[in-house]
Amino acid sequence: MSRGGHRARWSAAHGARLALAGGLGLTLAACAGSAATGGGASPAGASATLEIAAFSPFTGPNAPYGYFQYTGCVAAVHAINAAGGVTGHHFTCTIVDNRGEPADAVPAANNMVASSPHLVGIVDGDSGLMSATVPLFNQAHIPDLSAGGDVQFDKNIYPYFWRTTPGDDVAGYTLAAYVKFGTGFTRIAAVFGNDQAAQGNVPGLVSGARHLGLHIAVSESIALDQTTYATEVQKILAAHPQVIVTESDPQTAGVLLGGLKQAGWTGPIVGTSGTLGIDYDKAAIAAIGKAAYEARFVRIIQYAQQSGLAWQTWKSALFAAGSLVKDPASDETAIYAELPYDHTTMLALAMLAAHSTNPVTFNPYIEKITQGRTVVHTFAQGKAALAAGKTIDYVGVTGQVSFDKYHNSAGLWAAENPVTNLPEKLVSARDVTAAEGH
Amino acid sequence: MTLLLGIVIFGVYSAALLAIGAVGFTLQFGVTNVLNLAFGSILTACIFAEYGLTGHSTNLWIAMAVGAASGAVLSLLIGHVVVGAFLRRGATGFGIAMVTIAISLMVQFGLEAIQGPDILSYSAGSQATMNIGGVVLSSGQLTTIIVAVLAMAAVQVLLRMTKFGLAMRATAADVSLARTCAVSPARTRAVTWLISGALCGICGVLLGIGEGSFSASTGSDFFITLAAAAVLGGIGKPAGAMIGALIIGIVSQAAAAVIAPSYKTIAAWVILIAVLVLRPQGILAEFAADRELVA
Repeated sequence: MSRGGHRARWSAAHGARLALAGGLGLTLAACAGSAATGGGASPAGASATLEIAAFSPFTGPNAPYGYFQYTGCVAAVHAINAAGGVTGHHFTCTIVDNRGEPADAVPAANNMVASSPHLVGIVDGDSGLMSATVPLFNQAHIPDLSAGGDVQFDKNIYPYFWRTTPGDDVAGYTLAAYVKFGTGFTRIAAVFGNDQAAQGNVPGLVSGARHLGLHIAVSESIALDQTTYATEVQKILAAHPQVIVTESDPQTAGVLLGGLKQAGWTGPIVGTSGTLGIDYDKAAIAAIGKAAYEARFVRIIQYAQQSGLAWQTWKSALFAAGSLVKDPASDETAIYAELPYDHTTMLALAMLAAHSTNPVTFNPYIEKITQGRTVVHTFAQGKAALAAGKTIDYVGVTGQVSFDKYHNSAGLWAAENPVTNLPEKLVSARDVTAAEGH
Repeated sequence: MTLLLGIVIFGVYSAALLAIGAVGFTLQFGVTNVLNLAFGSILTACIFAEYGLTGHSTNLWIAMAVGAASGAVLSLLIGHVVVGAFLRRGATGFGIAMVTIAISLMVQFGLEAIQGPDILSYSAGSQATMNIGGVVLSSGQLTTIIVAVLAMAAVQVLLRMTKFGLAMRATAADVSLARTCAVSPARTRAVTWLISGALCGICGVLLGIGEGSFSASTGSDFFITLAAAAVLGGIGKPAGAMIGALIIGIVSQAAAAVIAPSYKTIAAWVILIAVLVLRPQGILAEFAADRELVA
């Protein structure tokens, strides 16, 4: 995932509550003791509550993203605890606020690791922070299940890092694949913010376009948060593109899309997963109107099913989590809340498979529970199967997981309508493979 | 040719937005000798005030009236009441600057605490547009340019052709001497805070409505460029701020067109540094050029 965002309508009061909860979480963590987790010793006593940290921005401009991580985590924890937990342990989700900035994230990570004796796993997803924080988690031997798309981790070297979302460069290939097979257009304007997350899409898009016979008519890397992009828009339109592919922060997008509208652009616009979120939607609708946004904009995101046992269980857990989840009706189709749900479930299943809550012991089992013979879709199913001596293949709400040697697993993609939040067209693995030139 | 025209037109538009704020900022510094680093947060607060009080109105004239009023009141409160209290206690220039930073952060995070981290947006309206040689300019952008020109002219008239303008210049030049000439520095400064705040508010609402969406940090981000325009023109010199804004506006648009969009901010800052190397006092410097922070 490139950037935070969410579909849920969350209020100022809820934001303040989350921020307060983040502060309380950090305070409680700081008071909990200083024993480092991992290092071979069992992290918890016989009945201690085990912590899963939602390591995300809960304050600052990317704060809505933290809501996704927390929502997925608490829903999974609810389901795990309802099924009896792991070897007598129940779980809790801890909010760890990294503010979305490396300067804040590193001390937050250090503090979390040093002061949380029952920390057994981390769920996160911010591309811009991974290079700073993943080494810290790895050094502390805490498994980190991530939805972050930092391309440096395409060839990840950290054994405690696992990712079930492709790198941002793969997202770039999916953009090219969608343009080729989903729209039939051939002339692309690539318009991306000059931040690391947005730029991570560009190499894949350019390479994918080349493999698929598409033409990048113009490629603009735009400075963020400017008062006007009129000059950039003129350059873009002068190249006569048929489709605009884009990612930027919401306010930049608002000004850019407004400029495109003003200049008369009526063609399709394709966004990345970084355009996901209520802030982006609000800015885009303010710029071009809801009708145009619904009719001409799609975003290419990982696709998760919206039916079947895994999804029904996720949905039930989401609603059962009570006041910890602000808007379950919106979150039930939010892929970036579903990812941490699966990640948390996988952590718990790995512990069961390893018969240990020690991260050093159960870390290798994170992969093994996706390679077994018995397919399970829920924690309860997995627990029963493991208790029966079977090996399991967890296929959760976000689908099949198949880790490569770098601990990366890609998923299905779809072009989603930003207003209805429904998939308009699937981007198959075969299409993406073609874009990758394989 | 269209691209060149676009650079000029949208450079002027960018400059217009910058100039309204930069003139307010530099005028206030020139007369009060207070480096008000809360200017950006006041600007943001004015957008929030307009958004809340008018029910998200995008009518620029109503918005500017509300923005100017809220900016004037806030500026007076912060400048004359809060900063004034510190000045009366003999705070140093550095201390005052830190106080304004503290106020800025309080305003910004206060707004974020109330509103939450989400951005706020205006409703998309279909603005009239005009085509100038292939360059499409919206009515809102044209209004911004006109307002900037009128505001700049008004400030020049105020400073050059009115008794109060003379008092402002006298206060800026020599407070003691101004007192002997029956000028009330306290009153002059108070009115200057009001005028500066009004310009700040107008700039804020034009920025917010022009961009279509905003957050608690919108003004703080914009303030950096705005202050650069003031410094480039010669701090304390309203006409200089206009020229500074124009240079930054056009250079940044030209860089976006000729080099690459991601270089537009860099190019503006390179020009700023280059000019200051040649003219450390800025392009124009007049009545407040030789002042230290806070007498």
